[in-house]
Amino acid sequence: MVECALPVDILIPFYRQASLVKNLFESLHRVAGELAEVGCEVVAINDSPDDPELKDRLREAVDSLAKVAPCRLIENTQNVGFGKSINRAAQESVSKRRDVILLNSDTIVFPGAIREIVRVGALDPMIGFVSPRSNNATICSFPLQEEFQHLAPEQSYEIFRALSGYLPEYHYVPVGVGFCLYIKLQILDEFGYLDEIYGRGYNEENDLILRANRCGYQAALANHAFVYHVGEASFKASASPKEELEKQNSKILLERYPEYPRSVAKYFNGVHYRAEKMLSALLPDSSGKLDLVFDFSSMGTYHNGTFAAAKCILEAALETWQDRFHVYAMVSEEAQRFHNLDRLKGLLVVRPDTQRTFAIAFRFGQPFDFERLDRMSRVGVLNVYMMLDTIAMDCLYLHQLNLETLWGTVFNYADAVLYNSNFVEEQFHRRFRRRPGLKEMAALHSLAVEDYRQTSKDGEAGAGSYLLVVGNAFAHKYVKATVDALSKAFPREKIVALGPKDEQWHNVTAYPSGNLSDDQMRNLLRGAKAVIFPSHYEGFGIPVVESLAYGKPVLARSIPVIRELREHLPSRENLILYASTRELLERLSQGCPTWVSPAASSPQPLSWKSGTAEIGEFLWRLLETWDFREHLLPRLGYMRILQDHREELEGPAPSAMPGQKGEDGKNLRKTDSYAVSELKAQLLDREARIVELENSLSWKITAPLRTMGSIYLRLMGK
Amino acid sequence: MPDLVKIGPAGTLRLEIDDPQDQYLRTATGEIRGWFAASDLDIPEDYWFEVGSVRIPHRTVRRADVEDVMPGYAIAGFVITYDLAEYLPYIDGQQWKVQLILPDFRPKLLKFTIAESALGNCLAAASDI
Repeated sequence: MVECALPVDILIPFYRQASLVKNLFESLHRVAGELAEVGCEVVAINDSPDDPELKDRLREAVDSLAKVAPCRLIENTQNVGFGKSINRAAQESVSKRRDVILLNSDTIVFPGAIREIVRVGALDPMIGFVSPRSNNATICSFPLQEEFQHLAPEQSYEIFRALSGYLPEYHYVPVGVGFCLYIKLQILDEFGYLDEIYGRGYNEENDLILRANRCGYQAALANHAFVYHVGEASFKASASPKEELEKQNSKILLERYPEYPRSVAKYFNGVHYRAEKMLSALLPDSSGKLDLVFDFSSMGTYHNGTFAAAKCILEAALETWQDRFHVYAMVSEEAQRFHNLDRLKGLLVVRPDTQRTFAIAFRFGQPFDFERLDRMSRVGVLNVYMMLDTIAMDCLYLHQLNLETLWGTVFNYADAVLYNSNFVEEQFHRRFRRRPGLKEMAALHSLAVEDYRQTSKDGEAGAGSYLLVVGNAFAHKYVKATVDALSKAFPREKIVALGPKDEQWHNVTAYPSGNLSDDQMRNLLRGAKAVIFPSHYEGFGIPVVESLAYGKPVLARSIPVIRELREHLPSRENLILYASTRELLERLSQGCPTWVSPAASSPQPLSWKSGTAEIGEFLWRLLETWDFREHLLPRLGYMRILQDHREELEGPAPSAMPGQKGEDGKNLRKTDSYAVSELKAQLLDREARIVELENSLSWKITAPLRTMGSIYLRLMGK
Repeated sequence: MPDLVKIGPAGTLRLEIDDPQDQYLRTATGEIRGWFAASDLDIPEDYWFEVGSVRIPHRTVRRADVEDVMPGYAIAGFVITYDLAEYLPYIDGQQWKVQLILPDFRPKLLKFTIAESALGNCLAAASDI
């Protein structure tokens, strides 16, 4: 139920600083209609009777505003300080049954702020206090980063407008901030006014908020209201040093409300604050672009198809996303060098330990450990994963880590998931519950043969001298078994195999995976007469497309993803499917297949460029429906829970020497400082007891007896 | 690390794994280094490391650094080259248990703990496209 708001008095105490009058009153003029609509009266309080300039300016400003909105001036006969000035005026407001807004003189009120503050106050009967957002007002500051705090008013407001739409209309905070604080009549009526024990300022509003909070009334921030705050203007003009006042008043506050510091600390460590801090990454630059990072933190200093595809997408992104994103790669220095990422024009690089936040973090490949999941969540406001396959979960011998938890987190908390084939999408759907509204896209890799050729000559079908069996050492690639069968069935055939480490066959040259560079791989393809792809399980099957690009007929196991690719491939006549190794041998016994010229020209297939452009469009559109409360807060909240259980997720730590157990039966951890300090304390305690015993009278009296006892034992040979 | 116990005529052989000293494997592929020391018997030349029935490649090396600090002892160093991907069926709960087999000695179980990230990289390779 929404409460009906009461009329409001806006109480503005002035202490010197006559120059502030103009800006503030001009801003009030601009919102005069809003003031009337909300039923506001502006009450300016001059607490510097000895300042003629302030007196003149205030009188003039109040007269002027009074022509368009209710406004009056209270002139103190002597300087009484902030608390007393406010209290006198607030007592009048209470007697007239009006709410109040305390407003500092060094503020500028932007359109809609007063209306929104009052509206938010009415949303929950237990909200007693409301502050707006500001450029520079401690927890009201938004964005929270220091760099935004001292910008010009209009610039601050523009930034606020660009980002505040992501925030919920309000959220609860431990305390509001006195630079602009709406206080409901019922609070003042029941709990009293600002305690004048705080003298000229600092913490008097916190005292009132915490007083009322003991009975359940809360402070809230109106996230769609903006009031600019210069900050510290009154104290600059005051003779009392800020630090001294703050120290004195903090002491009083903490004695009265010991819950205050822990509540503030909890807020600053909380998920909402962290999420708000990340939001500045959604602020576009002057050309409207956002920062996007490719998470290549798993990229190692070796070659594989995943890294090669990731690099192709990165290169295409640099070309096709340049109007929307500044593209970064998060990669180790070694991997950056090994994969020649420095040569990519326009690529910006950060290291995996970066503290930066990006609008979108995009990971090519599923996360296999908590650190990667956590890093993605930390660096990207939006998290997008490309899931490649479920093999590590499907083969029991591979299912080693907490993949259900890690991948389950992706499907429940990521902003979007991409798959490299429809088959992979279906496989993940069969295995995971997805959060409602999760954005998904099957984004196939390039099917354009030109993308895989180094030169146009590579596409020309030519004779080769060996059968090339492609895969790696993992069992599901089925290279070893296939080579074994081929070697036996065709002992005179020259075979080259990618995957097995050992050469146990007389007619086979084997290359272990990971060691071949792109150039070496291309040379192997060029020399082959046909390529065999025996894998039982693939998420995509790049070697098939690559082989066809080199004009090589391919014999591939008929698995779902290969059948899916075949539908889209331009030279599908040269992709021969087989159901079993026996069928492969039968087919080859009829002779090695030769290249067949494609029958008709097919429509332009998906290329790295066109596919990546589609991904870019998809990522950009995510921002349209992205929601701070629905997406970011739950993710950070869940990551906090995972963090609390990190030890269980990550398994044993370095010092957990095999077999070494703690008292509770769990592995001891080197980093367990609590255990170490406890042991140290026990040791110190024992040492102290020994010293105490040695100094005791009974120990000294019994010393001769102990000496005799030890002589006796020595004599007895014990 | 406890000494290896000889079966039959008495004698002990000291075994140390000194890299990684904490027996924590941080990478999916790499080397494990260690040494044997003996004062009263010969160090067998024919020994091997295995998981299940799979032998793990190793080579014997000279360890001058150990010889310097253990005069009077016969020292033999060894380097095990591993690629965890090959032994995944034998890895359980991030623990990799390797059996050291020395003729005339009781088999010795060496236990290694694998970092989550190392195992993760290994599994990621299975998803290679």
